[in-house]
Amino acid sequence: MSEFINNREHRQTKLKELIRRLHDGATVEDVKEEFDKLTIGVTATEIAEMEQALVNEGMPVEDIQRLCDVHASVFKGSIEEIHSEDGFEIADFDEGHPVHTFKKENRLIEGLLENEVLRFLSDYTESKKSDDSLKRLSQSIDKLATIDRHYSRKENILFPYMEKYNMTAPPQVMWGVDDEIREKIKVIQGHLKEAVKLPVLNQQVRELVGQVNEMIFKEEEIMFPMVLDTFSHGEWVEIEKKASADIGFTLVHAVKRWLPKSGDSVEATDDKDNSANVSNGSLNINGAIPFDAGSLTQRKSIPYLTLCHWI
Amino acid sequence: MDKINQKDTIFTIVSKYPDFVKVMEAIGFSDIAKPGMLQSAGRFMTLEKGAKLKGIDMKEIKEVLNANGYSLNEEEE
Repeated sequence: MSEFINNREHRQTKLKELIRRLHDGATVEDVKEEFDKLTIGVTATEIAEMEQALVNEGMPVEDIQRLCDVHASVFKGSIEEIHSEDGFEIADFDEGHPVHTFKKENRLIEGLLENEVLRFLSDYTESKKSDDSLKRLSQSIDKLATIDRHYSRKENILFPYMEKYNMTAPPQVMWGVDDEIREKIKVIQGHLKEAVKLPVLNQQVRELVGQVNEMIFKEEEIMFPMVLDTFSHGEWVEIEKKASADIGFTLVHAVKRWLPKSGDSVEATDDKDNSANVSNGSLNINGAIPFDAGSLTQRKSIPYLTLCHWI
Repeated sequence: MDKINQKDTIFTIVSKYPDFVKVMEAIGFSDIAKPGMLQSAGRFMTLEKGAKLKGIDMKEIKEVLNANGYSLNEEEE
């Protein structure tokens, strides 16, 4: 254990040294090899700790800001790997953040599939097509049809930003699958109005449920980590604004607006703990940093991101 | 045999072993083999996640890997 701690300390000291060398004019190439050797398995938490340590030691914020572009490129590969390992939890984001809303919808969609669609499908099959069970099954499929809003927000609002960063293939592939899901829902809705054979309906509904669940997995394991790693804070603000406009939400009736405040109109928060809390992979940033505090104050807990993402 | 870890991203694996793309197709990872996917989604997709997504048993993947000259390193949780 003590060996582990010493390693950590050693690594942090060395990392700080490298940052300082970059600051003193060394190029990325100059330090890259040393950095790679040092940071096999480095965690985003350590990087966040290190940056916080530099702030605490009094390195001027402007200097850290200037370093950001340089060391972001050095750190990139390592940080990406951490993201792919950690995944993201709904609690990691403030309510109203676009990813929070997407994930909230996904949890409700999962519930709908399990507790209504599949359940009512079984009821319908077992009751030998009673009118009552048909009605409930139809209603659950109609509810699922509102998944169109979730997909439309993703396609029309998130995808353009992904394309801006040259991520063109994932949106194309995903959009194709979204359309398949939409089509399957329509086919099933049609079949429920006609007298389609039970085995056919059974298979179609189960296939649909499988595909919707796969899409949730792709969004949460691949797409969200990818865009969270890429989009800027300002872009998320824009996305939130657009997403709140007119497409609407799936199974969620009211979504709290996510509006990071700016300038002097920052309200005091009741969070008295201004220390950096990095042990759980998030950084308690409230009051710890003397810059751009307006937009940061509202987001006290920032998951997996180094300070540079917020400068 | 070339060693592959199930927590490695597809991008990492293919960077190391370019021929691995063919194996991916053999396993059934068709989307990730499409042009442009590897450099984007491939950085976040791991062998393990792919298996979960496609509902393929890791044992099955291990067999395909072995048949193609790769060995799978399973990490303990």
